[in-house]
Amino acid sequence: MQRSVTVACGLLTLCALACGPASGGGPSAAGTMFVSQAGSSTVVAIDAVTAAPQARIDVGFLPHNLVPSLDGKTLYAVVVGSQSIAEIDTATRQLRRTFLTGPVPTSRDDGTVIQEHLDQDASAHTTCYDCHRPGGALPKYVGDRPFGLVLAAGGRQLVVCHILTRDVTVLDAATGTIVRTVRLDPSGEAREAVALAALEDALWVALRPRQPSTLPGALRRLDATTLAPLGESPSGSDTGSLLALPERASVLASNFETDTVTEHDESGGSRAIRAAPGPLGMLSLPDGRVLALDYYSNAISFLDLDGNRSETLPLALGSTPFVNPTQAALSGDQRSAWIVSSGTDGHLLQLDLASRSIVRDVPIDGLSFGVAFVPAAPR
Amino acid sequence: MTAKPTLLVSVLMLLAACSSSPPNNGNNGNPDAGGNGGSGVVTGIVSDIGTGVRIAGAAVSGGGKNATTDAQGGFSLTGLATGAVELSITKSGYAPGYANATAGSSSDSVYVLLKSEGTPQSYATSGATTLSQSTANGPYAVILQPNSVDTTDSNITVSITPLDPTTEAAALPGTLVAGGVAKSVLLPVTFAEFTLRDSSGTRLNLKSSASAQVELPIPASLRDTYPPNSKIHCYAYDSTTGKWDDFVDGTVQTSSVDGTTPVLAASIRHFSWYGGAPEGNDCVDVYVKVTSAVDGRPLGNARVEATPGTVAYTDADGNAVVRSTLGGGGSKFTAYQTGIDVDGSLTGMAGAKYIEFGEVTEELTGLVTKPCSSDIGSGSGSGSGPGSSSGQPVPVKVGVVKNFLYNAIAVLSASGGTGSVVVILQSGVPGEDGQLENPLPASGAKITVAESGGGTPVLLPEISAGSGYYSTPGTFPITPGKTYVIAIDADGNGSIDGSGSASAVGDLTFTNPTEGATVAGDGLIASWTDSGAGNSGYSVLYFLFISGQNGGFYYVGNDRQATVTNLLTGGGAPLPAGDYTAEVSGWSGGLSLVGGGGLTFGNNITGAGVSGTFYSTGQSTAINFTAQ
Repeated sequence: MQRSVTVACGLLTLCALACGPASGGGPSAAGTMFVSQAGSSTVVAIDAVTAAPQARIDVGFLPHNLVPSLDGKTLYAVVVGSQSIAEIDTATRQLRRTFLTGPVPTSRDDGTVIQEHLDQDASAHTTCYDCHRPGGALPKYVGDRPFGLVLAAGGRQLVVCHILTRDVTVLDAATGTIVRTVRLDPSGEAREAVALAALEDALWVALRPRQPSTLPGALRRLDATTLAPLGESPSGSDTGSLLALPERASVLASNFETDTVTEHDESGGSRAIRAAPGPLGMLSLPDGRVLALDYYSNAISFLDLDGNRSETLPLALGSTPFVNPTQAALSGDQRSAWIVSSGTDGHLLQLDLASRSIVRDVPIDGLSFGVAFVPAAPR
Repeated sequence: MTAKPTLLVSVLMLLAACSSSPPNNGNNGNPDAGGNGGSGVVTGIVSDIGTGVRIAGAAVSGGGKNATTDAQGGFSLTGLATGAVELSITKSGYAPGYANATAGSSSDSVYVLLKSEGTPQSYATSGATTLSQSTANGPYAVILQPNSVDTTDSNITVSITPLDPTTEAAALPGTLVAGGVAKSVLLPVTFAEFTLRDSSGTRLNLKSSASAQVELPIPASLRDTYPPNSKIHCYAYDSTTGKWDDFVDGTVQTSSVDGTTPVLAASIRHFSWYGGAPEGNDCVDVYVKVTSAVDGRPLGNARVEATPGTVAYTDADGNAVVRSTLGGGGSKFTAYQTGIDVDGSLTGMAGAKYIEFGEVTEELTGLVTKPCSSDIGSGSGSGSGPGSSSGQPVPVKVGVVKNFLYNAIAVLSASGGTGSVVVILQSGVPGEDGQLENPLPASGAKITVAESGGGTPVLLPEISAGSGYYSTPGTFPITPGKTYVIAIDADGNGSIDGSGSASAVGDLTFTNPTEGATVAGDGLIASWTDSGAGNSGYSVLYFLFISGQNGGFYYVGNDRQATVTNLLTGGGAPLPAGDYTAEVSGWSGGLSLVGGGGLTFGNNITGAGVSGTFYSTGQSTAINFTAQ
């Protein structure tokens, strides 16, 4: 694997650099933090400077991964329990529209017709949340559990992977229509597609066995255009997330059950770096290191990929501990990382990267998951 | 019940005084460690959820203070810094208990229910091991990998303490809500506590890099709601934060222990209380009014717990708003307040801790569902049903719980749309095993029965004064398959002390063979119908007996058919030719099948000082048939 001296620049960082206001000569911290609040079916918008909540956006059941468009004008949230993507206008902080990540079924697994879907013309809806909502149709959570979400084709497309079916679906970002869907073959007992990363002209998909399991999973590389398989390498039984590192031409996988982060390249090679127990989300930092969110150990690990070292710190503000970090996003000025603490009490924590200490606690809803920073629009 | 308003006022004054002058150490549950802290006070009582017995000698700690429960299970922690306090309660033979309280200038009350700990099992840490604990719902199991514990001790034990939230939710630690900015209610499905101990009795945990798999049975009444392959969010209780954390998915699958029971399987990293609780997405805000059962006066600063739901404290007018959720059956609202019986007029023992307790089970209908993300009590009105803000708060009457216990056996019988409910109620002082010693008939109780879902409660008169025997008057309409709730005011003081529910077993009729039929003995499948089948939450244990001169067969299980073989010869041999008699009966409530074909009988009436079993039975007409 080649190391680049280029400062690490994941998608969010690129966006911040490209779109952030130029006042003061450097990137500004001004902008909005968006957090998916899975437990309350909302995405909350929080001012990244004042930490004041600006809007709560009802998007559907179990919103998880968030991805901003390259121009920062749109935020996409994959809504796991409602089989949809919620498209949010980042300027108005309102739900602009929703679109389905798969067709609405007309029959159940046993072959019986879902009459209600016919009666309600369900296929005309753009989210299952229209009907399967509080006080509405049962069950509440429906669909194939879309989970992984990335931008592709220069931001013109969205790619979603579905946990239950292994379907990888490409959607046109402009129209919200499904371009193509490919159902991946399982890899042994790895039958759930749980995470995605886009790296140059390839898509990486993490496959895992149904949990709980100690059986191996796999990372599969797909052609980004045709979704044809290009290669595969073994992984642990429960990959938490994938992080593309374009400057290293590699993809990181967090291995939730084996407490490691592994770096994979297209040759199929991999190497492991130990993290604290239960790594889940990952974030590229400006100094080239990677921040791993250690869900099960209530900690964060700074991973030095070149030195093959990691340093772990407890997630705490003073004497107050926080639990279950899931994801992090870089602030606009790149001096902080905003971390979601996803216990039954929710917190958005500001990590000062220079001092490596938590400096601010912003209350959010319990059972939150994803976070994304969108810089303020230039005036 | 002899409480007087003036006395209660004086109790409150005493509690206020206690805050600046901590009582002495001793046998009355007073603090045995402390130092100069704040002015906060937490008073509580600790009981056994299975028997209602007050637990003496339990160690209580919280906010840097310690206490030991007195002979009546009472304790006080004083000198606490004001604010939230996480209490930890331990007692040998019980799973650890935890409670959240708020220490303030007036005493906060906690009523802690502990669950008897599961049988300790040896665990050889060098090998992969599956350990399980059988229960009425099926086996609870933990599957451990080799070297999961950092210890050189060779005498490690694992205890699995099962908890069925459909009957024992009150023993769950903390509050099952997703808090933060907005509170979402979590619906408990299945839980257990897992404890690892070394040879000195010290609690251990999995080493940081290790995980284990656990399997928790889905209670019979919830199996339709959570079919195989369902994903259920799981949580572990963190005693340091007093919160349920580690939000991960579990999957409903078949038990690896008995191969039949549907269980929630999940991976865990920390041994503690653990279980599955999906979000209740249909939130309702419920207005509750707490009054004294003696004189009807509103009771301020009483703790109100919704199950499932949140905790709140009543204002000076006895009003509180709690959040609950639809979709989990009836919601239970418990209100209580603890105090110190200054002159002994309440409990017969001056200085003893007492608890005023009451509960109501309410099917939430007519309330307006609101997003769980909204603030509690916010927005315009909450509908028109019981618990709404428009003048119909759920009434909870509380009264002092006596120091002796009540045991109830309640039988629900249904036939042709009518039936009866009979309750035998006894009281007494529990022995060391928790059973009543020389129990006496409990006269003067007020017992009601109602169909779950809004049925009108019907009072069961005592058949004769002093008998402790209560029965529905005349004919009582009972619908087969429906669930009925009994509420027991054991001492007749106006507050409900305990409650339980059971489904009415329907009419059982053979469909094969039928009366007088001649059938092939080889491959015979006996089947029957149950007029109660198809109702939500209906779960019946059937007993089929076939007997004749040449052979015999029995079946015990939840299916309504069984492949008949000759058990007299065994080996799966067919029923030999001859004449036979067949009979099937059904049982709902309390009695359940466990692994290995055994049966267990458990309490499904719980409350403060009241325990017992509420069950329903039904029986087919015996039929005669000939096998050839």
